[in-house]
Amino acid sequence: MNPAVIITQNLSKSFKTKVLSDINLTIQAGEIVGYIGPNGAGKSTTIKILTGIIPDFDGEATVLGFDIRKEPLEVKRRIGYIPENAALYETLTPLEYLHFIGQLYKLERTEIEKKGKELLNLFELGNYMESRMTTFSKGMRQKVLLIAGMIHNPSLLFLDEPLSGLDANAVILVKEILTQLKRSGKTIFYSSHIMDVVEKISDRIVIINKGEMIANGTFEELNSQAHRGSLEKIFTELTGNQQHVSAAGQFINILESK
Amino acid sequence: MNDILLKVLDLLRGLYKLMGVNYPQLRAIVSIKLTMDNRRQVISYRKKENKEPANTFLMTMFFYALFGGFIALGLYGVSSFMLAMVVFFSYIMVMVAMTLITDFSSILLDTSDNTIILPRPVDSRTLFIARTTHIFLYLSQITIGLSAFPALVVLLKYGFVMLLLFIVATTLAVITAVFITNAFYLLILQYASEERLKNVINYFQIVMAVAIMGGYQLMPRIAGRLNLEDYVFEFKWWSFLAPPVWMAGALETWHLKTTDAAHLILTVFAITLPVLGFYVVNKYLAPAFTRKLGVMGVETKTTEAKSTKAGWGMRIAPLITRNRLEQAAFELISRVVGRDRKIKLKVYPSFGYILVFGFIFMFRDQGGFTNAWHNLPDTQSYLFLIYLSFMILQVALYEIPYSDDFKASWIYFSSPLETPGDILAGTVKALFVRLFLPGYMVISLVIGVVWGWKVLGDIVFGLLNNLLMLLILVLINRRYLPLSVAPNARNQAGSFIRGLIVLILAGALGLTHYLLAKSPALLMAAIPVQALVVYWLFNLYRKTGWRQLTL
Repeated sequence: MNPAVIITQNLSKSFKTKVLSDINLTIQAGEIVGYIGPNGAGKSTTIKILTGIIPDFDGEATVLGFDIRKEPLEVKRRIGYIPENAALYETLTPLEYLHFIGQLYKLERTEIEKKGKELLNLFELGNYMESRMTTFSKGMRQKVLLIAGMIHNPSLLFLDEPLSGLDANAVILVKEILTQLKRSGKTIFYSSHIMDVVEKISDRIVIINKGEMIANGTFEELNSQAHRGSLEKIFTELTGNQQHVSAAGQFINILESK
Repeated sequence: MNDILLKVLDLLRGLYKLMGVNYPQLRAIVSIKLTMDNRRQVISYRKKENKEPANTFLMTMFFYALFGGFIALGLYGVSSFMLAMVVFFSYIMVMVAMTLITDFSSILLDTSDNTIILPRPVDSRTLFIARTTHIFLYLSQITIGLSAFPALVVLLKYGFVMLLLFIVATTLAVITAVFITNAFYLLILQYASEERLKNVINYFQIVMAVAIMGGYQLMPRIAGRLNLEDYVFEFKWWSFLAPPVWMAGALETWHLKTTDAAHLILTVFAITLPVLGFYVVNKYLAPAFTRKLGVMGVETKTTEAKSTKAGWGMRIAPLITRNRLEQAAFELISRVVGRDRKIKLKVYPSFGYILVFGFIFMFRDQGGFTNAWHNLPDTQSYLFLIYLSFMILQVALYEIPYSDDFKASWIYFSSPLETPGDILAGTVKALFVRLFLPGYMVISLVIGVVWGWKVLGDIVFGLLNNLLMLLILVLINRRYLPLSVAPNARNQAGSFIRGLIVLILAGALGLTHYLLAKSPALLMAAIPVQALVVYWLFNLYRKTGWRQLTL
């Protein structure tokens, strides 16, 4: 078995109310783990803790052998993070932005320039390298974010809705990239609402609901418990949200009522 | 210009390393933030986006130098060294604190750094010091501009050594202002949520805007009454609490070559307290700030939504609007003017300006406050007061088309709106009822108390005249849907001529009131005519079609 790269013990977080409760996870190197849950379940909070963005939490968390609370910088040097909302400095050009990010990882300027240009070309942004990102579409920004999150070649990737806004070709490319990254030994912690992608690319799926981990296993293992045939159906059963058919009916009834 | 600033920064590399900062990372962050500053300024002035600005820095310096020139004239004229310096350092510190609060609140509390920089291997001290350095560099433009001419005066009047001490003291004053502002933010952040802090900052900005305007209006009047030629600055116990007095005192120690206790204490304060402040910021406040920043945006999601109970504006909406569309616009605008911080920042200071102008106008050239108050009922000052609250409407009408959420206006175009006139009518009614009327009612009360109810006719006539001016303004000016234009897309073309026409018509209305005020019977007779004209003009505005809109 590969060594564990993420270990959490009773990981919890409260703001005014509890948003994460006793999450116990062990993720091996080379795994793609799909991390799913309804809105407000605590997915982004988990990722923000494991990437060192939120330093105050309860329980223990070790990432790549480092205690995230004590040595967040050691962790940050080795991981890549692609956030959910496409936040980047829009007044910069993609190349300027990548230069900036590369410098924070102490990459050489020539290396950033070379890699940046090649990766932007790969994502069909070659013609926009010198354009400011204020005019970019959501998908174009997402491509820049993906490159910025991986330009330092991290061994562990945290992806929060990475396919958001991407066109069909880019989605296929990213899925292929993730599969090949896994083959080259990288670990991927993948949070998304798009169930069929999670189902296809994940070695293991973790479901959380209302801050609690309610399932953890391969798709086959989860399916053998729920016998539902698809991740979407397993998800709705486990998160207690099976009333979709009747809710849809009610929706139409309300619309049609006077 | 950024290159020069960064070269200056490189000279301080050793100092930064001593503070435990990762210098290459700090340089990268500061460099990128300066680039973005330049581009942000340019986007709001010009449309050509990909061109790098060259002169914004020099332009900014020029304007600040111009302000500094006025201060320098003051310094030259005042004989008391201490007073001159206290005024100068107070001015510098207030300007720095104001800039920090107005221009930099959004940058200091920018949560995009959370997802862009915080996940990278940058320690909290480096990030905080980078942010502070960025602010210092920006403030240095203001400080150099403002102090250029005063420094010249100091050189000519007091010599080269005093100039050097003046530069050091100015730097220490800026550090103190930054420290106090940062400590203020952190203190509030410690006990309040991000949203609460933003609200506090918002109201603080509004109060400061009024205070500065009031200061500009009132200070010269107060100064005119003081005998500045023979003014002697006296130290009181509270002088030792005011940072501008520390700096001025330290310089006077050298100027007078004195070693008395008061001057020595002030000199010690001037040197040690800013340095201590800087140490506290670096050691304790920096990590706390970054930690707090990390949870911003996450925390607010879980806080409970504010009460959205329908206020009096919502309850009267169905009574004063003609149809559903107008009511919808009325309710939307009523809510937005009460909640949108940017609009509040632009519009709410007008309430304060009314107080300042009203005060100045009522008590001008009367030889003392008591005397003026006594003579007030014999004057016709109430006519001025009646039209003062129109200032609120003017600002609100100017601001209401603009919003950061301008893209949300797609709803006007996708919904089956036959004519946009109802939306415009609802907007104008909301601004009138929510912003103008409360101010007007307070003013009417003051007028009633001072002049008695014999001027009731003037109050009613004035109300209708204000409404007429409002309608003339909206009918002549470009018509925009509310909250539908990007803030950086302000179109000023042709606004001068329009402004002139509005001014002439408003002047004519004011003159009519002035003439009719002499005959109460005529005034009362004119009210129904006026009401009819208001009704007719309002219907005209309500009929605004798509073609009459500026899209």
